[in-house]
Amino acid sequence: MSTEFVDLLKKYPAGRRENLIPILQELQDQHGYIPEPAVSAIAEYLEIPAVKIYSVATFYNEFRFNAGGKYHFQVCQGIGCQVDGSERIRSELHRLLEIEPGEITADGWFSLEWVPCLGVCQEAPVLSVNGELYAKMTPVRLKELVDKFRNR
Amino acid sequence: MMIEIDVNGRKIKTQKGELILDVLKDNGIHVPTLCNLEGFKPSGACRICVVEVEGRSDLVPSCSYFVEEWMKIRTHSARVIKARKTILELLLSNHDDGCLSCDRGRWCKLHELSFELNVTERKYGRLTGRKKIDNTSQSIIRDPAKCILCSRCVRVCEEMQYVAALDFLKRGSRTEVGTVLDKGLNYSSCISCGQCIQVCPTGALREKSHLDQVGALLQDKAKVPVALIDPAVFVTLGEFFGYKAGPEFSSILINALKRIGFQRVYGTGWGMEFQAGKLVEMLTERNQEENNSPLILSECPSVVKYISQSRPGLLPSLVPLKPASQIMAHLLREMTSKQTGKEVSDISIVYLTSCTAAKNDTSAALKIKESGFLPDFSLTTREAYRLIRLYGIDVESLNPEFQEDFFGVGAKSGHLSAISGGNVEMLTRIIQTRVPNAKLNGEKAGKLRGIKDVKETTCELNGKKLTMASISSIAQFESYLKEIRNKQKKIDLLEVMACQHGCINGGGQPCRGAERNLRNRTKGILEWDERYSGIQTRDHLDLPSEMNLSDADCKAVFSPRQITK
Repeated sequence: MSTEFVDLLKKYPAGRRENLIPILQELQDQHGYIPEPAVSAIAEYLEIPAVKIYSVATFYNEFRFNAGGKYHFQVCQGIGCQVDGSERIRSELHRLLEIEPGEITADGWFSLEWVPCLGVCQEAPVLSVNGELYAKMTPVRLKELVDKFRNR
Repeated sequence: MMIEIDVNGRKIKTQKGELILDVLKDNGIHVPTLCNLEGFKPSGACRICVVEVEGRSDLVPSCSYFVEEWMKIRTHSARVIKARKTILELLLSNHDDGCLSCDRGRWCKLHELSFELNVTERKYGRLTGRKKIDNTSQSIIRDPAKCILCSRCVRVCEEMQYVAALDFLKRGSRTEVGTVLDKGLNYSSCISCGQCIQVCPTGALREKSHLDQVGALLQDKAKVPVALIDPAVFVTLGEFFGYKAGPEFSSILINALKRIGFQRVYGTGWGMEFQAGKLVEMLTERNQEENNSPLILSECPSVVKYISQSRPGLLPSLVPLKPASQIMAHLLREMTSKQTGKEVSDISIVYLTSCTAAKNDTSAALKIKESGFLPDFSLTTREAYRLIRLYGIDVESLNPEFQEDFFGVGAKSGHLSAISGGNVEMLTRIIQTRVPNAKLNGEKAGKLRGIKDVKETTCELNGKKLTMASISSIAQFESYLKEIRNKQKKIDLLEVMACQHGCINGGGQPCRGAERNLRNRTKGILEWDERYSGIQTRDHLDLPSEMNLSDADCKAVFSPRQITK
């Protein structure tokens, strides 16, 4: 097994497949994404076929297999946000960052992703940056937010 | 408990706990299915098998519902037929419409159902564009645009073959069948057994075709094309032309291939027997006390691939001999070269086999100029049928023919290797005739035949007991290994075939009708065997005097293979 992931995996009992999602979550927290070699390492440790792990990880939008930017924007596509104008947020982000979902800006600072409902519909439209929620977004507040990150 | 249910106004007696679909099938009522796979747990993915049950507001999938005594079932009511038709129309809306050029042709289950349910137009617009074809593997090609997500390949790969190269990725309308990290079959745990092709209802999975290359070879005046045929192909290919499985078609096939342009046509039987002889020598010399792990036959390329990818610890247990097809390919090159005066490199061996994994071990797949021991190309049974059709051969007008020279003379027991248990039976015959003082357990040897998963036999060799077992499918292999470990069983030789029931059920065989024809194919092999060999085998199997093949030439080296696990 690749030694890189041993410390993380050792926290969970070997051969118990119910720990797959907690492991994936912890990996993503640590790295910002799930490194490809980790898939083989988990497969070996939990004794499940690697494709099953990939299957579970692609089932949930939460997990990524490529490194995002320094600031990873996840914009809610849920129905509540749609009603409250998330479309404007998305087109404004397009304009500001000049990237498509799944891409990273040339300087490596920003990446973009459309995600299903983030679960805070009462605060729509919402987006999250590196896991931190920003509620009741407007194009003006969005520009301020992006500028704030750029000037950090 | 016996119960009585009402089906379409008819009373049917059945057992409680049976699935509705099974009951209907037993009573001659045909309900279409797509995802249902005999011998596997129902998945209920496609819903095409829905029936109406009185008292229930919704239609129920008959493949995954048990019968109850109160049930009044209607299998072909207007509502049911409309639902089935809509399901099919929706499947077609998301299905590639390149049917005219689809490899699956008239064997497509979707096409058959369209006809059956009277779907004559594309009712719903097309949802998806072309998807990326996975052609990374040298044996199996996946075209996701034709996939209907029935999960048959996924289940066979995981439950029967323990390989789990394929699974569902993503979810909802984006769901697709794919490999780990989307890297393609070549980087997955795939063992190229081709069972997924066998169960695929559409053309989403197919073999990597060598037909075009073989066509070019047959036109090339500088080359001498030689056909090498697996016994499984001999007994199966006739099915396409309406022949019964067995010896009848095999001699016609030889003639057909000669008409196409193959200068010589041979079976692999001689090589199988030669190799088995070498193995018997190895077994007699082997110190059984020292070696506790069983020797594993390396004849099946899928098993070798499985071991080198997923169980490298067993690599030293593999019989270090080249497969018979490679030994034959080498000998035929040498012999044909001597007889025709052409260079060895101008002799091209086309291996007709029921195996999709054999495609990996061809010089065409490995992109090497010097073939050495490898066949140049490999055609599956399906491709062989298409080749005969391509060249417009009318098989019914052909006379049986035999290749009347050294390797062509019918092998005595070699044909048996196409069925599970056949290799062991061949070995017992060789031991009986060639090894002095060998004692055979007559009663048990008969148990090697028939469609069973695990077959064991014992014989006495130089005063020591020799236990041999034969197994088919990787799931069986894994559970048998566990059994050996747990029960401390002592097995000396293990014949493992990746495809259930052996090569006669290989990935390159006709896609439809396997369940119907398997028994016939087995019978065909045994009938053929009886006609040409009795139950004896040669005392010695020597090479023609002008040829030589050293032990080092026959030796094979196995190494672990890195994949994305």
